[in-house]
Amino acid sequence: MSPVVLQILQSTVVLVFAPLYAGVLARAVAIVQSKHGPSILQPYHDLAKLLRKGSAISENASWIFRIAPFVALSSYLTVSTIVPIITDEPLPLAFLADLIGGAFVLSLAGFIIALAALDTASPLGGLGASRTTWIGSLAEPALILVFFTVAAVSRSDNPYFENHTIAGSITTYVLPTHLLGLVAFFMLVLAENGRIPIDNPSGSIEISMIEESRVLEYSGREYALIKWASWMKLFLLSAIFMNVFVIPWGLGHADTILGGLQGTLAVLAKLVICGTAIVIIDTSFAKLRLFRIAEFLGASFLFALIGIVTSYVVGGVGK
Amino acid sequence: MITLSEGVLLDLLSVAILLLTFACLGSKLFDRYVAYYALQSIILSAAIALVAHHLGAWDLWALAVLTFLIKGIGIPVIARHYLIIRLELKRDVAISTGISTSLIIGAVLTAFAYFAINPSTLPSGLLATSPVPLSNAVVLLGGLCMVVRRNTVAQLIGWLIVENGVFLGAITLVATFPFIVEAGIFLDLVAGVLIMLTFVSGLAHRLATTDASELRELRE
Amino acid sequence: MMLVLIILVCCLPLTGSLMSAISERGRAIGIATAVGTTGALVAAIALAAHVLSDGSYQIANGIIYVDPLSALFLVVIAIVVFLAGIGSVSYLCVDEERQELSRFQVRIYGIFFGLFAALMLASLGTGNLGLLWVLVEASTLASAVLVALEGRAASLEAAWKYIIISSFGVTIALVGTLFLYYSASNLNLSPDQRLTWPELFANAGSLQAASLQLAFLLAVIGYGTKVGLAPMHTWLPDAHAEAPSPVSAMLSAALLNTGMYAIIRFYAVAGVKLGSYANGVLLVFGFASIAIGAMFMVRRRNFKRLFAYSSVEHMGIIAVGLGFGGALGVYGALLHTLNHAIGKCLLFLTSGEIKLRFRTTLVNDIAGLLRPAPVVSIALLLGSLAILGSPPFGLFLSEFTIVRAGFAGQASFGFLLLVLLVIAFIAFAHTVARMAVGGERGKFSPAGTPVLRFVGGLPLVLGLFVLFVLGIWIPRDLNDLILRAIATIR
Repeated sequence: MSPVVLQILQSTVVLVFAPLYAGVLARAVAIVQSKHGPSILQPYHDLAKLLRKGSAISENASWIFRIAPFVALSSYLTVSTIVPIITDEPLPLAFLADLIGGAFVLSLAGFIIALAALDTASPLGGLGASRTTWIGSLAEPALILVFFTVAAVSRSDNPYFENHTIAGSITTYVLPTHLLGLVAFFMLVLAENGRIPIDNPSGSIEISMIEESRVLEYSGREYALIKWASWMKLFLLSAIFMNVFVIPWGLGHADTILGGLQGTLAVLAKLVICGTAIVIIDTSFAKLRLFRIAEFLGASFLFALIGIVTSYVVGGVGK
Repeated sequence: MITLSEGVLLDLLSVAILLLTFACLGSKLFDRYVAYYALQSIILSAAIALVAHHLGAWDLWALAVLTFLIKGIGIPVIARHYLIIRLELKRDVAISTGISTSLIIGAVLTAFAYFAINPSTLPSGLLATSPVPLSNAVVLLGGLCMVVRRNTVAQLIGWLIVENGVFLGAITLVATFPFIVEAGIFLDLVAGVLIMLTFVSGLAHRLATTDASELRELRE
Repeated sequence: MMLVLIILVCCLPLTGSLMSAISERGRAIGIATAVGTTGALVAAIALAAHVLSDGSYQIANGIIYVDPLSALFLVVIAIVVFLAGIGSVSYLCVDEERQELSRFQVRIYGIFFGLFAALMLASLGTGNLGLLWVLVEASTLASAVLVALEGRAASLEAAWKYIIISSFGVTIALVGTLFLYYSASNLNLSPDQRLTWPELFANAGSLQAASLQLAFLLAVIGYGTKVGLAPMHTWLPDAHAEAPSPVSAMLSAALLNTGMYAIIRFYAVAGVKLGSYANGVLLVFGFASIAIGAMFMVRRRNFKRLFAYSSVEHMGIIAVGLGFGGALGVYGALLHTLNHAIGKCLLFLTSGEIKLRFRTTLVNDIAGLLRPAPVVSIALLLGSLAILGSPPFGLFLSEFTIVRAGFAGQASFGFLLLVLLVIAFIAFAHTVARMAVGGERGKFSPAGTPVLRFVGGLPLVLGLFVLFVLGIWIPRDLNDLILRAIATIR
């Protein structure tokens, strides 16, 4: 019984706390910049307001434009069922995919939103779609390599197994392969979520925005779903980053409800740490010029590559 | 357990040295070249000290101190003072290959260095194994720095990085090198740097540039 | 006694350096250099005689080590140093008088010429491969200063190219040395002994094959850069063309051979364990060098560059001789080392004498040398014939031996070698002949006093004489020395 409950709890945690995470980040950035900033509950207010409104859809838009928010949201919900968020043992649905499969589901969401952006033939949408696809084409090889670094350390690409391996031995934790993978993955978290130095999440100049310009055409309920999905993405990637790479300890046991609740608290605490790192980067770096982004992602790729070749000599657990 | 953690630390230091080589390869500012080289040398001296601690060898301690003083402080300060500032070098424009391309070539060279060293042929009992291929990678990358950069100062720094790579390999692979040889290698390095510094400033004097692509008197 | 001789060989060339410390007169420094190098030659020959009668000698774990192979190379290099030392006298005196060299430059020349010679000779007197590396690298640095001596933009450029490429190459050789050291790590040897050549050679059969293979390849590439094996030869023509001529002679005839000596040491160790792999590597680099050397000799406008490419070719021939292997191939290679050293030294000294008279090294500006400077011109013609391997000079004999070794193994290799040699012959002879004969051209100015001209001609005549003798008769002691040297590395 309890695994099923935990499974539901895990997805609910993602759904419910993702807006909060985004709100806290926005507030923290504002405070560091000596502004007052919006309330940390602002995302919930936004969602409530948008969900109540009707939406205006261009008459040139096809069905893709309509279904894209739903596909994106359900993709992230799917991912939330398979990765370790609150428990250290696989939950019933975790057999669906490993980390690489999870990455495919994530990119499905990105793909459908890019398609929707093109669908309305709005110039800014096309611009955003092309930029995100370009960034994605650079980020995804690096992402796959990062998964290989964890796989090289733990001899598995199952996130739970990786979590166990790294949590189990401090020696494994300080392996160059693992640390390089950690850095590379953090850079990718920033890139995938359109944070500084890739993109400015609070930017409002259409010509320079990347992520946001894809969804300018959305309004009302659909826009709410899209926003929610993107907050979930940030939450999910941060949680994977913390649970698999940085602090693999403190997850709850999968057999008791209490374990699940403890895991929930743990993951929220870890997100505070991750959020602090993101806020520091957000406030101390400038956004990169567009063509420097390739170098940023290239560096991430390089870290992961060196990590993998190092594992070839130093070895993971097997050696 | 102690040995193991020392080995892990050595692995990490060597990875840091490799990353700094990449940083140098991916940079365009002379200040940065020298800074990265200095940092790399300081990390190298830490690595030597680690091996010295592990083996309890006094000559390696001496080498670590010398590395720190000469490579970590002396050469960077001299290079900064006599080359970068006096020749007013700021941004390196004489790079034959784009940064991204040379980074990709560098990545390929790194991978090559790893696969050229078959780990099963490495002897057991080494403090750590990864510095061996890493040092080869640093040697290759330093060579790449020398090839893609046309400025003589940049080439000089590339050569210094190559030397660091060799030292890294030497302390792990053959930490027990006879002292006279170690001392000789170090002496050669210092003499080489001094002579090269003289040449670079001589060339700068004569040609009013340190850009080796301007060196085309000898094309036939 | 041996120890004293070794120290004498290595330290006597420093006489010139010491003289430069107290004097800045070109004549004094030149004479001191000549006297010192003559002494070194005598000591080297005495040392070789001792090695012949008493066998190898080593102390302090091979830090100082002389066997027949190093004795042979010591003699070869001492001959070159001796000839170049005498050649330095007229170079220094004439250029000082014409004020082409400042006193400071004369002094630098004296100091570094002695240092360069001493370092090369010292590198032959050690059996420790690490120390060998240190000395070879140090000789690179010393010679780079000499290349840059004349201070023109072109010579600075050549020196920069030389020091950067060579230092990088020699660093590769250090990596090779590291791998050799560690291929011996499972042997029961002390750290000192693991770098000592005789110990390594004695235990070569039980070295780790994979790392030995890597070590040999890296050493050939690394020291090959110094030797000027293609494609690592790119510094060589520039440095040879821009250096003062006695230094060019030292570079071409002594420094390259020092590098080759280091390769032979690695080759000996690798040959035991790896067999034909070692030969194959040397054949590839050797043939590449001969081909590139021959190709680039065609229509050179600067005759010092022509001679430099000829050095690339001859180093290739030596590498090919070693690569053919067998007693015959190695014999030919060692004999060729001696012959080429003398012949090339002679040619570069000749080029120096020509340059003193015409103040140029461009072929087109020089013609009809025969009448105003008969000795120099005859030396140029005969020396060129000798370096091209025509009878009755020594190089004919040694090249013939190597070609024979080639046909004894795989005939196609021997044939290839023969074809390349013919190309080189045509290219070289075409250029040189135009300089010596034909109508007079160019601005001729006599070089110094008659005494200086005599001193300048002396090494040319001596070198030609020795080459001629070696072409018709190999002294029994020399033959013994070479045979013993082969025995030590096989």
